Amino acid sequence: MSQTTTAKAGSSQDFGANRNKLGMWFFLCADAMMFAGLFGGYFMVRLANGEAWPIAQHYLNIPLTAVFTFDLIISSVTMVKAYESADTPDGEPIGVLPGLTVSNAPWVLRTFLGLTVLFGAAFIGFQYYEWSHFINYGLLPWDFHYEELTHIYHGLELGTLSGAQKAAFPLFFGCFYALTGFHGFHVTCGVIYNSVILINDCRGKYESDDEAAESIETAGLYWHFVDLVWILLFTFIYLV
Amino acid sequence: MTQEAHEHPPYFLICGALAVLTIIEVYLPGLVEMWELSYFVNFWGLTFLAVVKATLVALFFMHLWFEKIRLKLFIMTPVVGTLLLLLALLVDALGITPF
Repeated sequence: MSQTTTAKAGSSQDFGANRNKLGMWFFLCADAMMFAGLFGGYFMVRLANGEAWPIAQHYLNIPLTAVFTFDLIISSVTMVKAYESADTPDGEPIGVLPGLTVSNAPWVLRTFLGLTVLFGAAFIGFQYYEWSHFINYGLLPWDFHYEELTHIYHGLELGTLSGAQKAAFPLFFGCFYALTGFHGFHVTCGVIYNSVILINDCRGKYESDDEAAESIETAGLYWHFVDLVWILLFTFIYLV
Repeated sequence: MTQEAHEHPPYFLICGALAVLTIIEVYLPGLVEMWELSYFVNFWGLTFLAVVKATLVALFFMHLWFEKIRLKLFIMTPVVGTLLLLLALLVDALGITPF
């Protein structure tokens, strides 16, 4: 990585952030409101169904989801370490693992960014597995195969389900697909975004350390937002 | 070094904290059921843990801790907007008629 730095023109001093970062924050604020609308709709549907709402722990794989929640948290750590590497001059020490420090070099940034892409792709894989598991059993909101529910939750006695409970199942899975699908789309875009930054850095497209750090910081904001939304989604869909 | 150079907090420590909070979150519903506690303990306990985790990510991974107060106040806009939206929907869902 080049040791020279160049002054960036057009920095906004009002918010203490450059235009790219401020633009990303604007986008994230708007995106947060989109998720707020989805969450609000989910809470409304859930409150309207009251006690008839299915118990998520019976139908969703909580331990596996917890593992991939941790996967997304780790990807946030690798992303922020990539930014730290871009922000640190070459040759200075940087922590790569708890208790392990190396001299900063281009390979450190690319390794952390590559790991972020890998962990993100793994999360998409998990989401694909979870969706295909339910779709294969015909658990679609518009064509719901109730008899297949017993394959997922063996303690379920279909004959004891009330009309309200039967009506709530398609709604539960509809909310699940809507929220996790919208989030999964964000993760996919984030993986592509981070991959482009990694490829650009490997090709030497960034003219200075400042430019690379700025790009990674901006991408990092998006990635941490995706992680933050998943933290809330995991809590309110899977656990509550 | 960037123009707005940040300090870098102990990211691995924060990761550890997030991992511990996630483990507590996963086991909390089971503990609430085992100890026959109220559903509201489960709900508010999980909500509190989620908010703490989200705050840690926002403050330290997104570097809000180090940003200017103007940017922090600007970012509070969707938080306030979300709370107002949820409050309005809750009033509707619970059938509360304030007027």
